[in-house]
Amino acid sequence: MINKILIHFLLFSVLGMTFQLRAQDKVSEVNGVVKDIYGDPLPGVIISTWNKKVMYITDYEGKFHFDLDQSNTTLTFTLAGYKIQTKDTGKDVVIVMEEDAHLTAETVNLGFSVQSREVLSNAVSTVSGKTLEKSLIPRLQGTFSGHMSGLTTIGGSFQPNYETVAMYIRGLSTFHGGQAGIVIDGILYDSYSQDILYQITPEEVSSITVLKDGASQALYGLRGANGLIVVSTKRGVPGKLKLNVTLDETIQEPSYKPIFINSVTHATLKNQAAYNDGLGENYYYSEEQIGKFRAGNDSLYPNTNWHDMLFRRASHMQRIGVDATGGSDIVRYYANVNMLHQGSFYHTDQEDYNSNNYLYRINIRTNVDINITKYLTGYINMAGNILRGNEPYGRDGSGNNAIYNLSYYMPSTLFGPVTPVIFDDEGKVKDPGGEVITTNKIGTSPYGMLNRSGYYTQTNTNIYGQTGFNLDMSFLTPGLSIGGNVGYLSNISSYLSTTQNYARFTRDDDWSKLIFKQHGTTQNTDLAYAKNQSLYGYMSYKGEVAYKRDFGAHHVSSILFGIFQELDDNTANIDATYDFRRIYSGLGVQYDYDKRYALKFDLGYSGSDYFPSGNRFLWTPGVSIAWIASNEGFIKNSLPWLTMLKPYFSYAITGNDATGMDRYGYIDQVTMGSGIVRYLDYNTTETSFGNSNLRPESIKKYNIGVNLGIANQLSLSADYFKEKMDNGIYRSTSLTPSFQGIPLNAFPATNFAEYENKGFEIELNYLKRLNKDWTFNLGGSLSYNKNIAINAAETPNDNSYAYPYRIEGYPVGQSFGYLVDYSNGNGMFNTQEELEGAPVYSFGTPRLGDLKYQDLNNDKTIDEKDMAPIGNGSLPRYFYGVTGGFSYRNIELSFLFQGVADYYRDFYSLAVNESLGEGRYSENHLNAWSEERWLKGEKISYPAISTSRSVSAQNSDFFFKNASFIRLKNIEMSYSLPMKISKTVGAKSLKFILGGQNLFTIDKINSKDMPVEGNYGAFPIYRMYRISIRAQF
Amino acid sequence: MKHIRYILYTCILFLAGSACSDELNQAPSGKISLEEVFEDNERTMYYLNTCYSKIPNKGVRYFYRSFGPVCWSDDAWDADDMDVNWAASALLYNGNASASSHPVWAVEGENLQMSYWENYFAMIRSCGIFLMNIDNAKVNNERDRRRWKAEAHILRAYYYSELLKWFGCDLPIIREPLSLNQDYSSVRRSSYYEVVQFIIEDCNAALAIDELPWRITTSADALRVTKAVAEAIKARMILYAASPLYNNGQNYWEEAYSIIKTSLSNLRSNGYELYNKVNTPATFSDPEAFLPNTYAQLFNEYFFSSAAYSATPVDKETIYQLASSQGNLIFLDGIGAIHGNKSGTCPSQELVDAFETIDGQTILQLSKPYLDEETHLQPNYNPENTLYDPQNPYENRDPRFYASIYYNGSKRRCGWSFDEMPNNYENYPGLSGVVRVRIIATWAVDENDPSAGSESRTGLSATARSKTRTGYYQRKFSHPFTGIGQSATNARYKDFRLGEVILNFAEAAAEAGHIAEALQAVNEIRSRAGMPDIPSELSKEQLILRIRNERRVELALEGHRYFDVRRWSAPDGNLAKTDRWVTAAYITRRKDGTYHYDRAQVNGNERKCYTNKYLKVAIPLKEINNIIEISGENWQNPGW
Repeated sequence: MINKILIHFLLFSVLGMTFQLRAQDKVSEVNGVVKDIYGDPLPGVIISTWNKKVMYITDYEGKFHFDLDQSNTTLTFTLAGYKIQTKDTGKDVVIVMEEDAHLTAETVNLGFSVQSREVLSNAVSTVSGKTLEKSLIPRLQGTFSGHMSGLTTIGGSFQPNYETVAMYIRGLSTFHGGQAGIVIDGILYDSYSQDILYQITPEEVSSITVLKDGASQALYGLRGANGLIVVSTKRGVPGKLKLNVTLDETIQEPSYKPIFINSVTHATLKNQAAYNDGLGENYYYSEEQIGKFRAGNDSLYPNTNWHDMLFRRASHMQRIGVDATGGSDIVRYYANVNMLHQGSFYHTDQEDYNSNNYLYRINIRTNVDINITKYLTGYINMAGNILRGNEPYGRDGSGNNAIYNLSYYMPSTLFGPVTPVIFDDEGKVKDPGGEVITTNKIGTSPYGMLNRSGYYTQTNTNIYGQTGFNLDMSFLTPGLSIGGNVGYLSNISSYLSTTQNYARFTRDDDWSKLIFKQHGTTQNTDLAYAKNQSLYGYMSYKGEVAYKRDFGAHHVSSILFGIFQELDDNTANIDATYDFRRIYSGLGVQYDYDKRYALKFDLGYSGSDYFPSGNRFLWTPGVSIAWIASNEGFIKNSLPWLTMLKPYFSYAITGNDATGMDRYGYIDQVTMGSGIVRYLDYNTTETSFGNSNLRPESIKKYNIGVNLGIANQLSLSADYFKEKMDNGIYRSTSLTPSFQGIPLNAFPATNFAEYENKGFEIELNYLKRLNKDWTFNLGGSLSYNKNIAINAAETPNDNSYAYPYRIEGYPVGQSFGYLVDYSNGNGMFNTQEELEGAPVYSFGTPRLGDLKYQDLNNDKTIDEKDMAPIGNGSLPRYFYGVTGGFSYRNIELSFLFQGVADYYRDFYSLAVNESLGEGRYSENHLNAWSEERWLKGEKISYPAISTSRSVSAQNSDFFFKNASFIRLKNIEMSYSLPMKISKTVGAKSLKFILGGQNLFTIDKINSKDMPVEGNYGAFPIYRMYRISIRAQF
Repeated sequence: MKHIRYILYTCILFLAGSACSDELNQAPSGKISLEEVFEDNERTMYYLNTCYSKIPNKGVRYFYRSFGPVCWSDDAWDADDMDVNWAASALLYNGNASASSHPVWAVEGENLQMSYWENYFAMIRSCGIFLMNIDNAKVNNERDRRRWKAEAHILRAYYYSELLKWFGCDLPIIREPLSLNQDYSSVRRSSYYEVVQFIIEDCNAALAIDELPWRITTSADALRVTKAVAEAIKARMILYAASPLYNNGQNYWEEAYSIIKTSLSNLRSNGYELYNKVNTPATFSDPEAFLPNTYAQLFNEYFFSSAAYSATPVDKETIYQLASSQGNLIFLDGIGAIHGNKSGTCPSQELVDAFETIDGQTILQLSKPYLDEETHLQPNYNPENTLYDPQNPYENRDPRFYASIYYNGSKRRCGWSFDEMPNNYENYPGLSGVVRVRIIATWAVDENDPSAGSESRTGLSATARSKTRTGYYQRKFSHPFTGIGQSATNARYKDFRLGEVILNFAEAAAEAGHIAEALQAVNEIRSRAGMPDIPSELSKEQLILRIRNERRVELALEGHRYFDVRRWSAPDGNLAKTDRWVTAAYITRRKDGTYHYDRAQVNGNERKCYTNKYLKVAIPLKEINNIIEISGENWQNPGW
């Protein structure tokens, strides 16, 4: 099939060549100037003829001058943020461009097609690369949060340069928890999309579009349902070489760190925990020992701050970016080189090798557009990057997290990090010491991980090339063209793993001396080397026929395409023995009448090898309509302040094949394993029973929205959506008893589950240019989503359960836990009487100071029957961003706040389990319940601590805290030197920029050391400061 | 119009291109269907192996290195109950077991999410599929076909017998596997007795097949079932069916008597006999093995050794042993100090009380062993016993006592992982790792005289995992000398042995009134152990008590007691007299080096797993919910 498509492309290309016509000699000369309404020159305005055969750009004084091979044609002037102007060719043309607060002039990239925003009938959100560049996060998806409505991002890892972000469009469209797909320059990457996004720097991006409603996703067939993020990279603009150089230096510091629990406090808390557990007073540390800790002048009684010992207060990141653009009417290019260095987080003392982390990343991109003949155009995008990084202890940042995590386990009472040198009476070294110290319970050491465990060096090379052509077939019929592209991607990671083990020593129980005994049997070993690699590669082929023509006031544009895509996965995924293959095709038709009535129809037809041959393909139709009322004469005349009014509606069926089930869920699988009777050799296992009727999930999506604009200053858009699925793929084992003998997890998956997702988005933007010097803007977006599993064929528990259902009727990821009985004020057993009247706990015996749970079913027992829904699923209900800024002459300021609301997380498992290791105490435990505190009426914010998992350590609403927050995500202030000064260094412009990231957060947890995002033991969110210089030549 | 046609052609071409979905046909290889399995000799054989795949691990591998039902009965206390407080022993002792937090998990090494219920029914289905297909399957050798068929019958009987033992309830008899689309609401349960009849039917079907051997003679065939296994299953299950908990008011004793009699006679005539002599005296008769006589020596040897796969094995008693060895048991389930890790199964004072004195007198009056029946702190001594001295309690006992239990004052030659401490008077000084004779000291701190100290290594502790909860350590399955630096692999777990069948017969015969035969059988067991005969003048009730006590002693720590005390209960009864309070020897050391023997409750806590509902294990909650939803019937066992 690939061959067939290729042959067809070749045929058409040759056809195109026969009509070859070189650009002709100059016919007319055009010149002029472009200004804004205050008379300031506008540089960078793109001037093009209607068919974009010629493009030119205004210089720093707003002037333009070029020759044309045709006369009396119409020129189009475009500049982002300004309304499009058209003018006939001529000499001394003066153009005045007007601001376009509603961005109607913009072309929106929908991935497989583009459309003018003015007549767009879909729900999409966009952001420009220029805005994203303001973020201090060097990984592309780290810059998204808060800029686009309908996109919920959840940070995974926050370690600088290893940031991971889960991206959900309109929450969860299916109960499988799928994340958004990625389209880069017209090519869909259906797997590894997150990884692929990381390979792009924000500087290369011209715009991002988030496709939110079904009708915009229909062409993506069975990869459409989770929504798509469309990335367009920058393309060349003609003219002389223009060079931008950016240099920046970023300082990164943790935005919080756990408070240091000194050894006095640690010892006291540990004694208190033991006392609470009935082990008596001073069980671990005597008063005398605590006194010595307090005095702090005895090396036998240390006060070790492990975190500060191992971690630098701040790390640095440097970056150099160069981009170049230019070209002629035949070739245009955009090139970018970006080099980044991430500095270290640690203090290391390993002298034989470098175990500290570092990372170098070089990104290169060249996007070239060529007009090969009058009819044939083509493009080549080559991009790639090389990442070389060093990590202590683990691969891909895992070691960093392990070290970070473990540093919180190390008690400050522990002498460390290594055993001391011991001298004999004559002053000779008796024992050189230097052995890594740990405790029996911990058994390992963050110091050992960092300095005695080797290092990992990874070299990751990622290359992706895209090339395509477009043949203008207007010789057949005006407006017809054909095209195609081939995309290739290859990602190879090579790892050098060096490992070393170290002997561990523990301190003797006798505190009067510094005596250490070896723990376990590990020895100090030499560094050992190993190499391994993983790789994956993509091939994507696309053929397309396009037709675009205006018939008076009727504007028609349509595309018809077919895509074949193959993913070769050679990473650790052992199921991925066969290439993953998918076929997409579709027809998209856009029509509008006089830019007043717009209709869009899309029909996708796509298939994947996840389904049996009869059910492999899915039709995904989508239709959307819009009425651009503000273009109606009567509104223009009678309500001139109503500069935009556009209601729109869409309906579509979108598809999903990522169901989390077996890859070949449609076939029975009988596999061989080793049997237990040797003579009988193997055994046969019926691993799973196939469902030969399995078909892709289809999700019906409705969207209704309106764009509103007032006085070309205030823009508002609002969308309401509803999504419904009634053929969800799920393993239905209700009504299936296990006595029938087939293990329930081998039961076939079937299409039956029902699921619903709904919500709304509001975006508001106010832009006002007060006068020549002052411009203000303020905006924001708010997204809300709520999903519910309607039918999962769940077998309910009986009526003795307070909540018999655990899946149906709840959102994906609904947690269940106990409700704390706060009737006595603090929800804990404060007195012996309270304890005696307590119901029986099925998971242990409550102590004084433990949490009082509500016996919801009144059976005098607290067990899982009393569990109630807590929180509201795995995603925040509300996600919002607030942006704003101003510019005054050469000074600009912009900011972004981002927040979530109606979001609950279980902080017990994330942060506060004090019984781990030797007792892991944080700020939470300082106010833990004790009889003394209770009698004195002091603040109590935590149940009685324990040396083991107490009954308070259950899922409960006490620990399920409100994780809502609002954060100053980004702020940037810049100053451009007056042109006179920048000219003296040969630059056209010179700009100094101060940026800040994550400067402060307001949250409901009210804790100094408990992060609202991420978790306690992992790298924290970093606060960053950046100074940059940007010069344009 | 011509142009339009071009466009149409192109459209058709593209649609045709994408519709050619051959590219998506990547048939996965290496995946076969069930039909193909039975079209091939080897695969058919493999499928039989599948039918073996859920034969449980027992002994120390019940779950998480625990002896499972041994520790859940009044024979022992699990020293992991505090440290591994999420595992079955803790859930049962604390009474936290529920139908969803199921105490009886799958055996170690298998999918922990699957309980016996799911596992065994899955196997019953596999056996059913095998039996449905074997007659027409492609099998090269007709002798194989018949033997395989017999094995599948026995395996199905085995899995049903395990289900009955644990769940103790009516079960659906699934002869032919149910299909995926079956209407499960029509499936009905059969009574316990009917299921036992089905088990016997399967066993008889196997016994009728000549190709099935009586004994496994090559180690490649280890774990394969034999005619002897079929007889042993029948003998065990008919005894269960006749017992009060399961007999539904019917008297099946006569039937049980005759079935077991036949089985026993068939076993004997096919070469099965009691293990009756020491075969490796170099080890077990060594004076430093501290086994006082040949009876104790052969008993210890028998349980430490696996039966050989041979036509003429030394061990002719073992009928079925499980495949996996139990590792070096003393490290996991014995004197915790040897490895420093855990003691595991700690035999109870109640079990120790069951061992008679060497003259054949019981220590306690079996009809009412404790004056305070529920707390067990006041023993009701047998007035006719003149040998027993409560202050010197371990003298003159049944030889099996010395082969089964380590007690205060026992000696053992081995190396262990601790330096001796000054307060370990019996053994101090002594370095870790050094092989020497040590004295097991299980005494506790004397509350009246705390200055006398407490045993720091092997003494009594209510919480420490490496120390004894009860004052005793398990000896039965362990080698006499192993310790740090020396290891020995323990025997494969003996799931069926002739000794049990003889005791099954003794019990059924006594219950059915065949007193002479019952006496003869129980005395056969006793004489192998060097114990005098039970007097013949006892009443039937007295004889039954003696047989039950004999069973407890002979089968101690083998996992029978948990099921026995249950089947002897009435359906509306409970286990308050046996399982509620399980006690420890509370021994204190006087300054002169002598000991004072007393009794105490372990932890001071009662076990909560003695109530009526604990007579039977809960059927997993999810299953019950499903069945209620399907048929409206509640299959759950009482109280859950």
